Amino acid sequence: MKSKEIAQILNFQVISSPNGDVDIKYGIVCDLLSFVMAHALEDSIWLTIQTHLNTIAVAVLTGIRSIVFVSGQKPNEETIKKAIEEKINLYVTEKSAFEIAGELYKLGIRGEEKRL
Amino acid sequence: MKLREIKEILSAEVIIGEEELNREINLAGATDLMSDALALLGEGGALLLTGLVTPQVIRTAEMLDLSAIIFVRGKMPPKETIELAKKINIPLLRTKYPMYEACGRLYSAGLKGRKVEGIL
Amino acid sequence: MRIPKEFFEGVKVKEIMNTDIVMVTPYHDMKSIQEIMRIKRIDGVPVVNDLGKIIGLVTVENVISALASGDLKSPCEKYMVRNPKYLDPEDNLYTALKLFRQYRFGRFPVVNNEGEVLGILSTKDIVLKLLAIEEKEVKIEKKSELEPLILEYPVLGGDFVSAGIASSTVKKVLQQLGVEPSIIRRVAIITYEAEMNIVIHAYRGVLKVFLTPEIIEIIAEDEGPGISDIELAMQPGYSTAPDNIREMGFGAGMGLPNIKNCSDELRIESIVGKGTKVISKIYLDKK
Repeated sequence: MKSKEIAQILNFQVISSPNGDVDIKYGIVCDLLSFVMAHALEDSIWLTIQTHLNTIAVAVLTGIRSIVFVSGQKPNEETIKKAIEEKINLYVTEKSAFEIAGELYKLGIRGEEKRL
Repeated sequence: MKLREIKEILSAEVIIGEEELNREINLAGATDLMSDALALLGEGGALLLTGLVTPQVIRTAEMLDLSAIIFVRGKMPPKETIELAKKINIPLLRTKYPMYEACGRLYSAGLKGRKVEGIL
Repeated sequence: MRIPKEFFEGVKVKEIMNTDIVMVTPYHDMKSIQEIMRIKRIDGVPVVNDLGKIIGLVTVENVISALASGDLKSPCEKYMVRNPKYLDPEDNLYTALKLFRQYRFGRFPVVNNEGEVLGILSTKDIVLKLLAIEEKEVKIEKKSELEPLILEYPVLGGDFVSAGIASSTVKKVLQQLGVEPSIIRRVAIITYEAEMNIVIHAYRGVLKVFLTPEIIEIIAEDEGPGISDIELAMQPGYSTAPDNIREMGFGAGMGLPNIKNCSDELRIESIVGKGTKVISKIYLDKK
């Protein structure tokens, strides 16, 4: 399913969408950047409350193209600028990670992580 | 939903609190950041799903009177975490599923989350 | 009356040791250990290294010698008993009593094969076992309605091992006093976030809670780097915490917003290079 379709269905606030046509295959919920770095698969949509600039760096390193900031956490200017530069879609939702993961799961997106 | 059902849905292993599986769970939150848990789970009958296994997770649970904690990604908490949990009598479970998958399965089974109100 | 040896041999150290212990690191100062002993009513504090293995024991005698030299600010490494004698959790009480007689110490740490401290066995624990009485929690009673109850706990920067103990103690006291659960939860969140802020950002600090029938006031004061832009620090998601703190589950920039959300009134005073004072109020008579 396309990233922009998901955003529309789940009513995300779109912060940046330079890569809205990217196909999303998996989901990951994690706020520990080092874990995401080691375990996230490309083509994942990442749910986190970490709005820090380093979150974008981790997305770039793992090939993640879409990040949803949950629990209403809004990224700052620096983070947004970097995301646009790196062609990463950013969304914000008031709902919690638990709820959004649940909704995405219902849309057929499963959780897969790399095993080390 | 009873903690026992949650255990079944996630094929979870009980680390401590086998005799507490009849606890009623009303809502769940999934986070690795304790401040997020503090904002999300300030009501009774709450379940925390987390990948963090430090004693601070138990301290947070104590502050919120959480009903249970499930460690995701198959993580086993260290001894000091388990000891502290015994002291405040909170059941600890662990599941092999990643956090996302655990949320998906529980949400599909009808367990509710909660959105943050007020400040954010 | 003489108790048969078999009785003592039938009791294992792990069954009667006190497991409600606090561990410190070698750089903890003697002053905070003195406070820990006072608050927790204990007379021995194990000192552990980064791997959680025992390297020493600070006893009440060590605190007295530091006090006598007016040297409470020194790290406990200077005064602690190095490589202390210890008991194995599987030892029986008879073996333990022989050790007590041999060394004439008041307490021994109980350490497993991996060098981790599981508890402390003191002569008090043994006497209590013999009397078969349960140690009851001390009830804290308010002296009068006019005098506020004041709780005060030291918090040490960088000390993730005992972080949260102060908040946990505050919570227990409020429960004993019969404060309404929804209020207790708000106080717990405020004190815990404030305590973690000190642990993460400051060198040392103190957490104070004033309680009257009308109001609960929580003051967290620290010596630390201070906050240069308080308005910015209040913004959800803003944080100066380094990545390693984030990996521990803190520093996502939600602490101060959480405190604000739980307070009826919040004031933050800060001087860069000096420290920060967070004053939070919760009104109890709000109906």
